[in-house]
This record gives sequence, structure tokens and C-alpha cells, in this order.
Amino acid sequence: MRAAIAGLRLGARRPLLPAEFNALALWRAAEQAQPAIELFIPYTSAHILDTLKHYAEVRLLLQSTSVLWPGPYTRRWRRRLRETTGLTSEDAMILALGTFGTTASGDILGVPLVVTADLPLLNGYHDHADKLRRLRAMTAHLQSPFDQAALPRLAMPTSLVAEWSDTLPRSVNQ
Amino acid sequence: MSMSQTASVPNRVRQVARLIRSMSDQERRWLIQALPELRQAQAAPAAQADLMAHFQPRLDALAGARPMLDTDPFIAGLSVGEFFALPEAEQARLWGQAHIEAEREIKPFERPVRPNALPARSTGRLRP
Repeated sequence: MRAAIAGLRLGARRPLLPAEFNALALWRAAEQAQPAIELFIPYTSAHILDTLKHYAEVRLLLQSTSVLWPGPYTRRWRRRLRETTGLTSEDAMILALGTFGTTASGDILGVPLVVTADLPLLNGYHDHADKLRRLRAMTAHLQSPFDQAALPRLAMPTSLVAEWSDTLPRSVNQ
Repeated sequence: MSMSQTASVPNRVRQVARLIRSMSDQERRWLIQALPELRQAQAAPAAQADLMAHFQPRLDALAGARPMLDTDPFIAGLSVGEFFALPEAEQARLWGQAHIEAEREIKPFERPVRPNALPARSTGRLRP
């Protein structure tokens, strides 16, 4: 999000940095996919950006994304992820939101992809892949629809732009 | 890249490019960790112009919003210019801190999920 805002702000004035370029390229790829791919931002990001929505760069981002709210089990899942993997509280929250997050109307349960350029989160997810897979088995014992909950895949923006030209996952962009 | 430009690229650079292309996501992350200056490389001008052409008209057409100025307030008590002039690691730290504070302020309750809710991948819903 930071990179997308910086890219929108400065893209007409100076060469974009790779993180800025990749964030905007990913956003465009999501919009141009057939059908378009829905992008989500965490509710905490929406809260921060809401105070800045008089800026065109922020307004466009808010208009182009939906908000992912914690659904039932999100807090418990976050604690379990943190205790099991040692991920930071914030990183565990992103994964928990991706697993049990929902819209304001409650019509979805989780997202398939979390897009992030955060290397500690990406590395933590990769390092604890086995433990995370074992945790996944626990959701199978929950009541429907929560037994369908699944950990999202994590991916960097660069690896998704090409992929999204012919697929239609939905994602949360950190 | 034109043919003359291609011809001037040293062989060892082309070999490195081939190697990087063959890397997995994890290997690319390790590469960026080992060489953080790679983050500072610049996008090709034509690709950037094409990208901005996608967003700029929409930015210009937004009613009730204006472009950020360097002196405008942003987050963490900093102006837009001050924040984006910080090193990446410091921007990330402040951005993360703002999220921690936001979570404290919101104290979110867990939103109900409809009994027929499906994982997002299964819905195929289009963005409005």
C-alpha cells in the first residue's frame, strides 16, 4: 500500500522504485484480469487511510479495494499461529485475517492469497510451512462454514503480475 | 532494449540475468536480502509511462480529493515529504507502528460470517 501510494504520487515526476512499480503493476493486473480480481486491505490499513482520504492517491486506493475484517476464530487463530510458529503478532494477524477474515456483509471466509513484499513475513511463512500445514488440519473440526477455512498462500507482487493475466484468485494486499 | 544495447551487455551480466530468471521466489528473496540495493533499481521509462497512463486519468478525475503535497500531514506526525524521504526500513517501522495503534483504537469485534460463506477463491465475485 505504501509503495502504491508513493508510486501514484511520484510516478509522473520521477522514475519509480521497483517496489512502487511492482505495487502499481499488480494493481493494474488485478483490474485488467478477466474477470477482475478483487483486492482487499486489512481493516487496520483502512482505518489509517480513512484519515487521509482527502488525498487523491489514497482515495483511489480506497475506492479500488475492499476491507477485510476479522471473522469468528480470527483472534484465536492469530494466537495459535503466534504460539506455534513464533511469527510476530502483526504477521500472525495478517495470516489469520487471510484465513478467517470476512467482508462487512460476511459473505466470504478468507482469501487465497496474501500479497506482500515483507521479507520477514515471507521468510517466516516459508520457514514454518510444515507447522502451518499441521495447523490447517485443525480447521477441519470446526463447524461449517469454518471447516472450509484455509491458510492463504503468500506471494510477492512480482510473481503474481504474469500469473494474474489468466487466473482469478482474490487477494489481500498488505 | 535495442539490438545495439543487447550487444553491449557483457556476457557475465547476461549469465547472471539468466541465473536470476531461473530462481524461485525464495531464492529471489535471499538475493534481495543479500543485495538490498537491488530494491533501488529503476523501472524502464516506457513501462512506467504505460503504467501511469492507467492510473493518472482516474487520479485527475477524482472529485473531492487533491494530490498530496510534500508539506501535507501524513502519518506518525510526519509530513508526506518527510515520511517518504525516510529509508525503507524506517518507513516500514512507522507504517507497522501505525497499524498497531490502529488496532488498539478500533478494538474490532469479530464480524459474523454467513453460513453459506465460501472461501474467496470459490466465489468468483467480481469487484463492483
